[in-house]
Amino acid sequence: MKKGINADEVELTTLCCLEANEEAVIYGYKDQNLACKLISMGFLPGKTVKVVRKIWKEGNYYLNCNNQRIVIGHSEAQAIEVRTML
Amino acid sequence: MKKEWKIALVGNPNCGKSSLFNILSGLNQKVGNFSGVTVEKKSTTLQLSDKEITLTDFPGTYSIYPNAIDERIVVGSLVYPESKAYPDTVIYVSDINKLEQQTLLLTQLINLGFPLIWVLNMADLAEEQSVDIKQLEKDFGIPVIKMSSKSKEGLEELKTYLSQPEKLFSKGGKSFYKLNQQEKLISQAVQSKHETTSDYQAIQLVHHYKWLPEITDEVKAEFDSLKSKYDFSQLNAQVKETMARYDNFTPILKKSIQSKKNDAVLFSDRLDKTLTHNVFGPLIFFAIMLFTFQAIFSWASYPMDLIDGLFGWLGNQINGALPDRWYADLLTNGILPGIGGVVIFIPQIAILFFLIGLLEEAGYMARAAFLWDKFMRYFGMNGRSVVALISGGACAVPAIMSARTITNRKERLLTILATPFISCSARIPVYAILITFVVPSITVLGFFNAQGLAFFGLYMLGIMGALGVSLIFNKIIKSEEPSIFALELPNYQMPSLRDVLWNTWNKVWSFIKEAGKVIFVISIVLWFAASFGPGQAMQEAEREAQEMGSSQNLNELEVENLTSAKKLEASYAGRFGKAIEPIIKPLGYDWKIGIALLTSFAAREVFVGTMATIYNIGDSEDELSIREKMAAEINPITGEKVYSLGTSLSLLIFYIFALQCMSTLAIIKKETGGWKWAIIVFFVALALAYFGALGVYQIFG
Repeated sequence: MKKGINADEVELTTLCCLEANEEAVIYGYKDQNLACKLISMGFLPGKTVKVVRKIWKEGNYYLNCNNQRIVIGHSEAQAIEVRTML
Repeated sequence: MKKEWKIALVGNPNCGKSSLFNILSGLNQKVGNFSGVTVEKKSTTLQLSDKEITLTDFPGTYSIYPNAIDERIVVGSLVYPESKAYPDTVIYVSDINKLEQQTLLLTQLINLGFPLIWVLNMADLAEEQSVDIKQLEKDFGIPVIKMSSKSKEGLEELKTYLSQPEKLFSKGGKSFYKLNQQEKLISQAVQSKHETTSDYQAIQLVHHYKWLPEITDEVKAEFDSLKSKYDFSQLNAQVKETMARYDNFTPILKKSIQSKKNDAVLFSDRLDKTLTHNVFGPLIFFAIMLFTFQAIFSWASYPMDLIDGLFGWLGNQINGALPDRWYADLLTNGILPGIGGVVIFIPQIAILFFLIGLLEEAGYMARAAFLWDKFMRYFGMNGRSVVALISGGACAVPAIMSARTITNRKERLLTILATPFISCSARIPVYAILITFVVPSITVLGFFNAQGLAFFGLYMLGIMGALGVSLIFNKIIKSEEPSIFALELPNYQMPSLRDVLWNTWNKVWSFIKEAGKVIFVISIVLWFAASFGPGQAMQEAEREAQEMGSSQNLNELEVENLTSAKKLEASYAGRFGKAIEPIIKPLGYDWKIGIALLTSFAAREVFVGTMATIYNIGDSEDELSIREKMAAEINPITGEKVYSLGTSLSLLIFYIFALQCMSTLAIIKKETGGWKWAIIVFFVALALAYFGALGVYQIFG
């Protein structure tokens, strides 16, 4: 959790619940295979991630994390836990 | 002193590694495969001072833990000293704008004990980024060079290092990871029985032994028991190690770099707003594809006319220079038209390779994967399959190889099975000839060439075939393996014309060599089969033609043509064509087309070469092009054109779907690990081709 933020000020959710232009902090991964892949790409817990674009309903996610553009599928977004400010 | 030195270029995908390799190697590149696999290996030999240096460009990977097959090649070569591609030293390349993300693998290589230098590439794009090189060298304990593959900044410094790798590459890099207690115990157990370069390399063997080809079954059993003894979970260990490394090197890196978004990043972000837009993105994708096929038809016509003229001139020169003997006939009526029939289509093939190369270099292909991932998943594939399918438009062989980046085995298999249905460049000669029999060369809607549109339509049919086949196999093949789609989008960049042209030339040259070999042999066989017949058959055919000529009062030229036609019919090739006629007649084909159809099962581009050989032997009017000869061909029974609308459409359908390429079948066998899928997809394609062509001929014939 980010320093200076109280537990009741953040909400734990998954990346797929975010809309375009929303930001959140990566908390963890529900799937270890996905964790291995994304962590090696620099998509680390604690980093801020922004949803730049979503392709239609349940489509892909265009993300920006640490000035890096990463695209993932909907099922991958469902397996990434993030914290958002309430 | 060691005279030969093996140096590996290693780095993340999109770090500019291949551009750097192209600069260092110039035109002196050797393109081959890594031992035992079909992962492309580019290497070059450099003579620097008294040393011969072999520099190898490895595929990009994010870490020492591979997710895809091509990444395994890198890791297998780096963690196991017995592997053939194991380097003496490593040049680690990072994009200077992404140092935080691209340092993980470097720290792992340091732990593996390689002498290293660290090249910070793309310095030309880093005007807003300040990097303290001296501080980095101090913190990481290895030499650091800032360079740009575009402006060649830092190139001379890099060459100095390359000239003395044993002295200047540093082995004393700082370790950013120390093994935990469990890993230490395992590595000690490994090191007690096996020679290793470091404790980290020992633990890597336990991570990767299951797929390392050099590890024996006995050692595998030993590592199995080690893992269960210490309750070692690879995934857990990998995640913990990766996180620990980031925790250790990120604060140190931050001391040396100050980054802001540079112009290239902002430009890419702006461009992506349109190119990856929900509506405009797919529309622009279609526009790019349409432009590509228009370009193939419009731009290529001038060099094609030139080549046509050149081969005609060459044939006349040879005819004039050689005596009237069998070898002159073989050369001018067998080999030359066979080879010429394919060489003429090289401009179209080169344009296709060039445009696909431009899209790749510019960074567009990754966007296409993003746009189409959702759609591809309906058919059991994923976004990366789009890259393979588009590349299949050039050639199915490298396209099938590119499916190695797909981690899920089922998605990869479906991509491999679907790719051969995409119309490749070898179909261009066949399409180009047959379209002219069906569609007039007129402009429609004020801009589009009607033949170009028809060409686009044929490609669309191929795509539909690919998706349909994938859909069917998706229902049949069961898999529980998880599918992961995660892809980094590189910055857009102006493609290096030199690199794209060089790659295009490599691919076209490989096409000429491969197709040339097959066509050369088939041309000779065909010339023989069409020039000779069993027993006295040829003499009888000639006598029969003479008698018919006398009884029908034909002139000299008509008798000559009749004789040629009768002799061809009586030849081995004619008899063979006649034998298969009952099978192909319902598709609207005569025995001449039958011969071409059969020979093009070796490689489909042979169709045109075969036609050229057959018509050259069977026709005395040498000045006509192969297309004109085919257009003028009349069915002696019906008195109608052989290449009627029905027959031409039927042939087009056959060539869209049939898998007539030995190389593709061989690569499917290699990539799927056996003949099973190659045979299945061959017969599925044949059934689609035969019944599709049958249906079309019955409607239009």
